[in-house]
Amino acid sequence: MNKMIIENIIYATTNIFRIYCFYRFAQFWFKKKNFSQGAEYCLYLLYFIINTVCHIAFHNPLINMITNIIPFFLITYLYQSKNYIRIITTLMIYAVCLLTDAVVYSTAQLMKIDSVVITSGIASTIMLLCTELMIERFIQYRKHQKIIFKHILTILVVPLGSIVIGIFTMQPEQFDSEPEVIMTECFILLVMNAMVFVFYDMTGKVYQQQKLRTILENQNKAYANQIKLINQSQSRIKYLKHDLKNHLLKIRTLAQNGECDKILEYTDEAQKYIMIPEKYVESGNNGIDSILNLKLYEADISGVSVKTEISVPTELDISDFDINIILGNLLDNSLNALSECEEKKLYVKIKYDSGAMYIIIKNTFSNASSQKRKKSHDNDEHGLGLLSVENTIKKYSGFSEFSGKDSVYTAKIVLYL
Amino acid sequence: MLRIAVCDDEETVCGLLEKYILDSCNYIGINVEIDIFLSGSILKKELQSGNVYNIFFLDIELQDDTGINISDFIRNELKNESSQIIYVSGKNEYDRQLFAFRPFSFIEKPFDNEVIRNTLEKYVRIYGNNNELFCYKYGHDTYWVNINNILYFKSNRRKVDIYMLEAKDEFYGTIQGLTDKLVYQGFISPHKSYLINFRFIKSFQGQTIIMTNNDKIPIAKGKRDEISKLLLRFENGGH
Repeated sequence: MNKMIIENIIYATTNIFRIYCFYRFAQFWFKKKNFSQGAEYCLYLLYFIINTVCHIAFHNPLINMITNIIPFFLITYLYQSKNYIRIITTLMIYAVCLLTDAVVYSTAQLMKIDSVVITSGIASTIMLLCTELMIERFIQYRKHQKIIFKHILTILVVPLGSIVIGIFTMQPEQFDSEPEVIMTECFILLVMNAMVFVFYDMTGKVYQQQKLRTILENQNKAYANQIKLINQSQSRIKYLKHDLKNHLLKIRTLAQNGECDKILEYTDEAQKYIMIPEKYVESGNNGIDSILNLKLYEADISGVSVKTEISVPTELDISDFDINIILGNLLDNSLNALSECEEKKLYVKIKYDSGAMYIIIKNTFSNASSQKRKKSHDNDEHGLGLLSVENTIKKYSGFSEFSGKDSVYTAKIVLYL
Repeated sequence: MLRIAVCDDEETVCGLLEKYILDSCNYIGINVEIDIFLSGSILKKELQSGNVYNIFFLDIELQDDTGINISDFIRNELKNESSQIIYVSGKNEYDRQLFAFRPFSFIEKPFDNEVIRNTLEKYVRIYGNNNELFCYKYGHDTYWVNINNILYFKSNRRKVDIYMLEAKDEFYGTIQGLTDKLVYQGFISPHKSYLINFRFIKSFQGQTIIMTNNDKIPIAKGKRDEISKLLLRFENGGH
């Protein structure tokens, strides 16, 4: 086959992956689409065709730049956004392209490498895919997930390794004699790299699902506990009702004999009998009752002295799921700190007033453990928990404040419902 | 002088509340006058004839009426947004409707002296002894207004409009100057043109605060967190 044709095929192939990269970036950056998926694919295809054809026909750097920037800017109108953001995004992605090109070529120059993998633009494309993934992950880190550095290192191995293999195997002389072989190698390298990113995405999704499952499991545990408590309460009340006649008779007799002290004793006992000790709160709001009773039970058996002040309506405009995330994580944090301290005290206040829900949780802590507001990169479970809490708080336009003073750690949260 | 109304159809509960309230007020050091009502309708008649109270201790489940009806009467018919309602209840599950009347607190039966004292201490902390006054001058006249009667201030070019429970007035001044003076008395500034009394916030709707007289106060973009912080501090006893 003609060497020129092969060069063009290689260019077209790298272009496919470059435009796939832009597509990924646009998906990630812009949230809402104005048109259907089909229209989106067509436009990207058109972008690819225009860009490739112009490059092959003209080989002019200026025309290259124009056919890169303008079509992409037009494509940003596929998504809901403001104009200045569209301009910034287009320029940003083009700048990233130029930068990766520059880095790859100058590194090659410095290391005196002359290889098809560099000159054909494959190395640049692979590095572009890498860079795009890093940007995605970095921004996502600030929103949801942690950066798992080990994973990042793993995914860098394949792209960098491919480039190194390319350098060793795709010599310019070979390109003259066996261009088809080179073309096939290029294609395989590019596909391999794209696959790495697809797999990375899949593992990310699996990870998110696992996180969701854990939250739901915790919530179910809380519900199950609450149902158990309600059942216990109800059966005790049933027994009490059943024996009511006898109890009343007994109290009447005591009253007739003027034995007031004994009456007090008797009624106190009856009251204690109805109350289930593990039912710490009974606000009537299922979400709050479930998670609080579960966590306060854990606190109680660890020897924590608990005080609560709950005044909320039975129905609130916040899902049980979200209540579970906030209260569950904060109380876990408190319980962890309490386990390491001598004087164990916990105070929980939840109040609803004028459309705002206030949550104040205080616990004693020992300076040795120095319970700080753990940032997400400190520790796996805790960090993720507090990140979830923050995301949930944002959902209700809320605000949180954490402070530790005089061995008392205070978490203050307000949510606008 | 604090005027308190206690309304519960059980005489023993009323008696107990009266005793605890007197003890607590003695301890805190404020003068108090307590009126007992054994039925909701008698209380309503009393209120209709013009009697005012600072605090109502209301049983939620009354025989001839309910706490909800009386609260509705106080807030919506008498348009009284400044008196505080404290619900006393044998149940600890509270209906959502009750919260629309912006109760000050809930007290569960059986209660003890400590609970009553803590509640009254909190009242004094938030509403003061009811004699804190705000002073402003307009022209040659000086005016004194009870802080608990001021809903909010709004800037009006070089003047400031003062919106009170029963009236509206104006004087020369700046919101910034007022904020510095009143920030420790429960006034927050969600917007550079407004200074509001947090005690009269009815609800939040997006970027707006609705006051008890249904006036809408905007929340400036950068101020939301500051407002939240202040509100949390009020809830946490000033810390």
